[in-house]
Amino acid sequence: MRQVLHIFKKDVRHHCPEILLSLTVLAAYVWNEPDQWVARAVSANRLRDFLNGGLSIAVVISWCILVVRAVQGENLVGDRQFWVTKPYDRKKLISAKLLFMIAFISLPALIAGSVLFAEGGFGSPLHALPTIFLTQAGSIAFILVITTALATVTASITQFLLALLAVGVYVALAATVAAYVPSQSFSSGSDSLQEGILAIGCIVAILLQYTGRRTASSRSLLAVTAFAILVVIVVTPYQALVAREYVLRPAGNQPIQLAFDQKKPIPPEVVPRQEEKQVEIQTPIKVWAIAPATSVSVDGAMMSLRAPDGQNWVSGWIPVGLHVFPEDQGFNSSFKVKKSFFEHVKATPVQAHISFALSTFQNGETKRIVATSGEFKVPGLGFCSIVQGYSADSLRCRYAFETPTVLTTVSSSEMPCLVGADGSATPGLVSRDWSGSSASDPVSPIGTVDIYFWKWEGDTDTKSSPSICPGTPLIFRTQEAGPQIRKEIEIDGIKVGDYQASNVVRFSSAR
Amino acid sequence: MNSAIRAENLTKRFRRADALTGLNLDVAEGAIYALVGPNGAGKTTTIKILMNIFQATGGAAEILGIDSRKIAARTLASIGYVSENQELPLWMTVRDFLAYLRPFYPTWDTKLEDELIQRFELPLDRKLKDLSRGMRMKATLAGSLAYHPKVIILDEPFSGLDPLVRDQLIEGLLERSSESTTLVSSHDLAEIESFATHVGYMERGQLRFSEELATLRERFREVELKFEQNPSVPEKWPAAWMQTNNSGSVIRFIESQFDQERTCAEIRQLLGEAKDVTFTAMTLRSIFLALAKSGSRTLTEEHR
Repeated sequence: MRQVLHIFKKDVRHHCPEILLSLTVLAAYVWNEPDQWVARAVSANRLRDFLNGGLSIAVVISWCILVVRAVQGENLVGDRQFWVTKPYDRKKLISAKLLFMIAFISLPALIAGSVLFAEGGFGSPLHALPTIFLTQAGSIAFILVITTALATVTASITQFLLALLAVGVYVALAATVAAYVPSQSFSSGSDSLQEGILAIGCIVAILLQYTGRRTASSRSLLAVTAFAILVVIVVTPYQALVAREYVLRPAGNQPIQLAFDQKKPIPPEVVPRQEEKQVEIQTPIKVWAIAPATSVSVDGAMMSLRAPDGQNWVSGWIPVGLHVFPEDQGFNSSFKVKKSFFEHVKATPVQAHISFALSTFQNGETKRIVATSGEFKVPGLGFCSIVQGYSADSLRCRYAFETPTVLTTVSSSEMPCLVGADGSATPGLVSRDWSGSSASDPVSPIGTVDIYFWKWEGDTDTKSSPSICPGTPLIFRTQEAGPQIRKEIEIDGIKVGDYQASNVVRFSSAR
Repeated sequence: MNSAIRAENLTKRFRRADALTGLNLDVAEGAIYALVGPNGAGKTTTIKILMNIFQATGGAAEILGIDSRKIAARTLASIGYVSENQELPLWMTVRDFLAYLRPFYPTWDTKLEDELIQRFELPLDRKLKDLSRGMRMKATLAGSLAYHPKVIILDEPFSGLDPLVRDQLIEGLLERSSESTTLVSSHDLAEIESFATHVGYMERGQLRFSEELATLRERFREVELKFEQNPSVPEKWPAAWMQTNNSGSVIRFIESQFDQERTCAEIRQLLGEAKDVTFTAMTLRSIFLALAKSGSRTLTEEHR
């Protein structure tokens, strides 16, 4: 332990400017962060806007600098370092570096997180310390492990930056490759495997460097790790994973019924555009038999089309994120079809197959809260305030760690303030939004979620969105997750040209 | 006598280049062994393998009986290492540097540290980055001697230093030589001649010969023979005679197995009675030049 502390003390002395910089940036972040919790339709301060975006990035950058400088203080690359001929115990060296990171990254982050927790109005942070630590641990470990791995295989901060640039190029490449892999954007089935490979690759590279300074092997290992992740992205059987996650249910035991809505839509306004490589089609889906006090989230959808000449096209699973309720009668499911295929079959009846990945929810605890000016407390959720926006009013809610899945509803029958431009809306209508979130910031355990009220549902006459004001009763209903199921719909003889979506965007002011 | 440093059939390959091609080295305990040879001969590579900075491609090496691949903190606490191109913590002052090293060594001798500071006239409050090259070497050497290392390894320690600093370093080293084994590499023969007890000559990744310096000096002589008349020259000169030069009545050569009685008898037998025979002792530099010119024969075996 003496040697660990001895090296640690040397690092503290040597890297004092970097430590001070890092702590200053963190303090600025803690000072500025509560500003982001405040609901504001219009920005009040440009400096604050700039800081809001930049400070969390600056904190991470300052940590990276600290890690690189500490690790490269006893450089592991090369054969001229004085320390390699001195009696350094490698385990103690790595422990000293770890202690340095705990002392000047983890501990300040924990303190900062606790200050923000208290500042957020969630009480004393002492009882929440383990949860604050666990909330931060994942993100901080991710940053530290990757930065340390790169720092151990580079000899200077310049080399580190070049390595970081290479990582950036790799991430862009991986994202491009992933975009071409069907269903990848919907399924997160291999995320844990990818994270595991990354963590193991980085940790083994770090250990290889600290135990034997095998730089070539460590660099190769990191390259192999990156390649392995790319391979996992490409070869993961996403469709099989979705099928396992969302099970088909016997016909008699369905929490929802879906069918293709045969009625033809009004021909859309379509402007031919040569540059478009895909054509959006919207398939109308009928919905019924949703049990009272339940709701269904349409998480994803997949469409396949088979032309009479045998040609076919499959969309792969795509995320949808639509919620349907017992009173809903239908929704449109959008797909982007390859333009050449669309042109080939648009006037021909084709066979279509649509699969839906659905999550079912049951209404849980319901709380009726009347909005006030300023902040008001929503038990189980956090603190909310009204944001009166240009196109829709919303609530900004501040929570600690995570929120339950909540459905927030306002009713047109209970609006104390003007409902629309003409000051009225059909009574009995509702406007609602679905929310659920968890804090993922490496420092702050406090997150914010915006709950928007875009329109009155089922009202085709009133173009205005609901106005939320002090006195508006809000219903917060937690949603308890039920089974995840898959629904399959067969459509014979659909002409996809009839369902082409409009590609003309018109802006209008509805308020 | 026991070996403090040994290498057996050591090989090292860097991509396509062979740096060592079967090096055998044996440094006896207590010796001051000078490993000499031209730049690129493999001296630094040998030292870095011994210090476990490089991994050998083949063969084995050990220091103080420890396999060099297993040299770690405990063994390093008994080794003092100084290199001309070591990357030092330049941000430290000399005082900080010595204070930082102190706790790593259980045998650190603060009295000796003070002596070394005095001897080398080290400016304690100056940062290493602000020191001259010579002063930096002295600080490094002080930090490598203050714990009474059993083995001192110096890689080109004197290169580029002015003579005064070099002499100070050598004096400091010699004061400690009785308690340790020293391996010093150099491409400059003159600088090691004054203090080395043994010398090994490396060339193209191999040790061409290894010998006690006194013996080496004893067995090499420049010989000049003057005859009344031109002597009849034999078809083949003795193997131990190098660079034979016959200019009429004067014959010059270098005797590599000098023994006055035996050499004189051999001259008489081959060339007859000479009018004048001169034996001149050689500097180490002249010996090595002679060896290099005569085709770098492996004299170790020959000598044995």
